Amino acid sequence: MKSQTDGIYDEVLDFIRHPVEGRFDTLALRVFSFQFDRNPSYRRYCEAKDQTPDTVRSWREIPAVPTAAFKELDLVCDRPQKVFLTSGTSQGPSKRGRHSVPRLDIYRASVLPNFTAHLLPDLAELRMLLLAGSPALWPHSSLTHMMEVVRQEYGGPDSAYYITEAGLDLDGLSRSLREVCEQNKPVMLAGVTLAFHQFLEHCQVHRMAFRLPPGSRIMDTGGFKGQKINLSPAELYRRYEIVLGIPQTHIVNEYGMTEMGSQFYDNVLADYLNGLSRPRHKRVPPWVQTRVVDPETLEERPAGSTGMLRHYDLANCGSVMALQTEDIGHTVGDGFEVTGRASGSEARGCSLLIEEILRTQ
Amino acid sequence: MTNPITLDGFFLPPPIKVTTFTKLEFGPVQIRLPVLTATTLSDVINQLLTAQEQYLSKQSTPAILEMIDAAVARWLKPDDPAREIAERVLPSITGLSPAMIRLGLTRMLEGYRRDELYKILRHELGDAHLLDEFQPKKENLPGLTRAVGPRITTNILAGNIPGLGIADLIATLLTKSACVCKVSSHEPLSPALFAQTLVQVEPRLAYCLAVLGWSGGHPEAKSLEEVAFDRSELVTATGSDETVTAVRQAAAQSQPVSGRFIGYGHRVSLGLIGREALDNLKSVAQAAALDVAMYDQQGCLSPHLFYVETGGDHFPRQFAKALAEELKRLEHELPRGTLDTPTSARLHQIRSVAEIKQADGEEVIVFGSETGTLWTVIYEADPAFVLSPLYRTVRVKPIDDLMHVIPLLELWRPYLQAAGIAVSEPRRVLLAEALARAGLNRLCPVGRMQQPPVGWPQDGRRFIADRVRWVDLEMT
Repeated sequence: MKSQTDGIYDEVLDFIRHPVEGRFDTLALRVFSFQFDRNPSYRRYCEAKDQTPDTVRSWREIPAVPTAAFKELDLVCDRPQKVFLTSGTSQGPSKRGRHSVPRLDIYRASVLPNFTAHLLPDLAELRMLLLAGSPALWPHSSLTHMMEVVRQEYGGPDSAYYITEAGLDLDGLSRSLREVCEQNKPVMLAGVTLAFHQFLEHCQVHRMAFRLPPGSRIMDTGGFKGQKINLSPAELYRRYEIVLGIPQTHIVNEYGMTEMGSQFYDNVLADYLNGLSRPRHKRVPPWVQTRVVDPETLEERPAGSTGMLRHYDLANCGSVMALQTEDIGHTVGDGFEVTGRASGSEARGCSLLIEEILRTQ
Repeated sequence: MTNPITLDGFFLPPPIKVTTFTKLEFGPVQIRLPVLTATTLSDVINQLLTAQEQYLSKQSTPAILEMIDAAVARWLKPDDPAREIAERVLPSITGLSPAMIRLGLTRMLEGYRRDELYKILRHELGDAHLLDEFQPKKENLPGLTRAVGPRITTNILAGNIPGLGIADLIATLLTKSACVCKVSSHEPLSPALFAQTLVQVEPRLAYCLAVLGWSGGHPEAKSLEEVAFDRSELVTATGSDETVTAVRQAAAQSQPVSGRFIGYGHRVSLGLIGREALDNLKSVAQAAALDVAMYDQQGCLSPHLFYVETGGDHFPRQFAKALAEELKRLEHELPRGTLDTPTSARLHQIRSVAEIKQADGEEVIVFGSETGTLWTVIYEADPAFVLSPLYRTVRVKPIDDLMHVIPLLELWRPYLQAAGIAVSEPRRVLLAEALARAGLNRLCPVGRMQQPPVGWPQDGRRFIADRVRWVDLEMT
């Protein structure tokens, strides 16, 4: 049975499936109006800022909610079908961010075409070696949910998760990769950067390297957030190339967050297959808009200048569409690149950084 | 566009010469530092040891005090060339506003005058001449005693507060120790600049100093650290916990077991305001605002939050509002410095989260600068001690009795430094006793947190006394 609110959800679903140029603004304003009505916490925040459906004229003016607020409040418009939790490693279990999703079909609709466009533009199916926990192991992880959607849709035989209760199954993964090399059929390795890093270190120690079959690709995500690993993306990709034999054109970084229904992917594989040569950057799907704003003035930064990333994601129609992230970046062409994270925590002298001390608790 | 200014962040005693340099860039300012080899550093140390033996070890404490005072007096004159350079250039290096640099330097230097240093020597050693000659022991204990400083000290300096390194330099010279200072890349200017002033006062004193730079943790730095630590009887390090831990480990490997190490790591401070102090709401808020604004909260003495007692004539939230008004006033008098994007973004995030909690009906009230993140006061009923993202962001928390703050500090015990307190006379001692046991090292009036007297017990240590060793002369 459909509730009265399914109207806006269905509209968004329709737009994600069949984006129409120029319609984002209208739909975004309708979603804002809906969220303003359905979400008292968000409404009061907007009212306090004097930015309400009566005064907001463009999607750019929709009040953005800081992603950290998902730790404090339930920001949802309807009864959720699923609640994703942030890993919350640094602030203990009570301070995990919660993203409640009333309609998983919208989530799925956003995941699939975007993934296909950037990781599978050339193939219908691929064996997936997933460097993540399975849905049973990581039931609250949005990343695992996303991967499972993709695996069910495009994962070839023997696709599997390689993180177990005991951690990353280094031997299992090595065995699978040897098998892949023998079978000579391309595969996709997808998962968290930290797990990739662990595997690379393992390979280095055991003097292992693979030449994965041509067409094989990597999707990594998450970076080294909160870890004391000092490795630039360029250096990391070079190691992927050396240890796994996958060229840079086939290494696609994903940027996503628990609080957001849609993801962003690097352009490199799609561009390579289309014969384009552009700098690596994140592509923005048609149902998302991203702005780079100055944290002091909140004005949009000029093209190429650094600022805070703000995303307006229609796939978040059941929670909050306008998100103020903690990520720092700049525009590249019609996309963007992430270059850092907010930190009041520069360890200067004897003043102290928040994460550092919380980690010691 | 102003032309870039290049200044030296190093100081080497003659005849040592270095031919290769590296530059640290701070917008229009470049600071030049030498690229050293272990051999050159070894030569530097030989030179310093000779100077220490032939000159510094033979100077009396009053003579050293006189020379330091002369240098400090120069820096206290606004038209002194070195002071003028410091004021002009430190804003680019530290990000702090020119007004903040001016006020900070003056307040800090006033503490290093002869009389102040003399008093602290007497206080810490019991006798200001104990570093000059044997003195009879107190309490009729038999024999004589004296203090002897290290022949050479290596100080790894912090850069969070401009001019802070000068204190280590002065303390080292007061113990008649030659001094290797490794500057911080965050503030690599003032130690060398001060050394230049000392040259003008008395070159022989200045030539007991070397101010250098190297990147701690880098492989090439290892050989330099080995040389410096191996030959230093005392190594001190101020900085992040990471830095201090790394230096401690390196020093432990290079120093003989008898070598000494003093580390000053991460510290946090807070304010406590009694209900009776709220009678003078404006003046206590004014004092608290100064503590928050000084050095944009970058010091270990800067308060992260204020606990304010309920049950007085004014509510804690009225204090929060008054504090906000005073921070707004200081926005003009003592402007905040410039921030990089990640820091600014962090402040924005913290403030927005508080705003959304307030909108959601939680007991949170946000007071903030109208534009940007220049200052933020967050009144919050939740009593938990939380850290501030700094740069003039401060929380105000109501508490029914200041003594109830004590258990909230338990988790932070190893990191506690100072508490600014505003309570009436009869309560002060009781509260102070409890705070001392809770781990705090300095208890001072609100409004004085960032104006510590020279010799304040940083990390619970003494300024001079912890740097010396004791020698007894027994007569019978």
